Amino acid sequence: MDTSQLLKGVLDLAVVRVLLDGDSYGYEIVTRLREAGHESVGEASVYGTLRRLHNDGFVDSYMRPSDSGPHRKYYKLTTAGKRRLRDDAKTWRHFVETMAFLLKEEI
Amino acid sequence: MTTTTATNPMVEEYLARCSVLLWDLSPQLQTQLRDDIRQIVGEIAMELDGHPDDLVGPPLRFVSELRSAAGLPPIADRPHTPSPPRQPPAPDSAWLVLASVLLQLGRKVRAAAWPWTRQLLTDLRPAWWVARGIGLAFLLGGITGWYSQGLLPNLFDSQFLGLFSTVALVVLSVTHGRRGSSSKKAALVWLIASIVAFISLASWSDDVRYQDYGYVGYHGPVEIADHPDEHVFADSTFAEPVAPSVLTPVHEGITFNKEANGHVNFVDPLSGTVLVTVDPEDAFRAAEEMRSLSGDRELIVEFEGRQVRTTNPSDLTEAVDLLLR
Repeated sequence: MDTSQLLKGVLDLAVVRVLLDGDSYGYEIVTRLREAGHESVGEASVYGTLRRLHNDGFVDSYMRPSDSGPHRKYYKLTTAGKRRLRDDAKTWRHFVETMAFLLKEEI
Repeated sequence: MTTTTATNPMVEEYLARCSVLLWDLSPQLQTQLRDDIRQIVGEIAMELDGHPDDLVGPPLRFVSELRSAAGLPPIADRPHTPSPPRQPPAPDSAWLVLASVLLQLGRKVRAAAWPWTRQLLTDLRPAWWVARGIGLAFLLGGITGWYSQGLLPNLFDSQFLGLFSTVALVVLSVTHGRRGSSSKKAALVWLIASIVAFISLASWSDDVRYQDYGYVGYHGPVEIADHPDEHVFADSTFAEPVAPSVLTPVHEGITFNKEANGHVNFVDPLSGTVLVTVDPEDAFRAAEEMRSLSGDRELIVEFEGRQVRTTNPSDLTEAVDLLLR
């Protein structure tokens, strides 16, 4: 199974979850996702997701000086984003439980 | 949001290639996405060494993924817009086309010729330094009052001093040419000296030209009193120009028996110069007057290619008679 297709469906949730731990910038979010096991996640996908979440008002952005180079664009979760995280997490859990039930006999 | 980041040439080059793949989006969205891409790729390039192509993939894949994740439509194919057929130039614009072609040609010729010309002038500088030294030497000779008797100036009537001063000034000129001027004042002095040397050389070459034609000490054409439309070449040894009544105007540079055919010429045998040219009917009268003016000078009387040399002025009339017979 192509996990990259699965990841696309839940990338919003994954990104928002990372931001729940604190404000972060794009490359750090990508790194966190890869460390969590989503090694195939692409930078463009994460940034595209961040852009969409920003347009929808789930994340906000601001510039922060960097010691090692140009200013970085940081993203922070908004109240709507946190609410979205709760809803999506609930949906995801329900989805996983459903799938687990379906696959129970196969396993 | 428009962000400002330090310019990274590799990032900018990558961004330019990505921008092409955003053509179908609104200008505002294109601007936003370009800022995003610059931000994204800039961050990654800052964290990891390498070219953006190696870090985030080629622009096509990157932009496709970005657009997909951002909920934007896939990259659209560029509509093919055939270029309009080329029309032949209208007749009234033919001159404009020709002028344009000539202009372009002129620019190319100038572009091609200028480096060659500049190189030639640079290569010729030593020759000019030598010429400047010689020019200054002739100037020095002229100031001391003794002019050249050939290719070298005389200094205080001494060819040795003339040669010495020429060598010294050439060495000085070449040395300065190789070293250059140490100050603006020195450069100005040398510039003036160069101009004066050039004028001196031009005068010298003019003098040489007269020498080649054998006109040294020869003055003319001389305007005859009361006959301003008539001129004659007169030797300085003559007290007065010959009487105007029998004179036919001659012009500087005309050699005798060339354009004076049909005329009787009275020629100085030493310089070969035509002193007087007259019609045959005035030849006897001119001979009489020449006899009184020429003193003891020898003369050649010439008519249609035949010459008679007179050792005695009293023989002039007989010479004319002999030639016209």
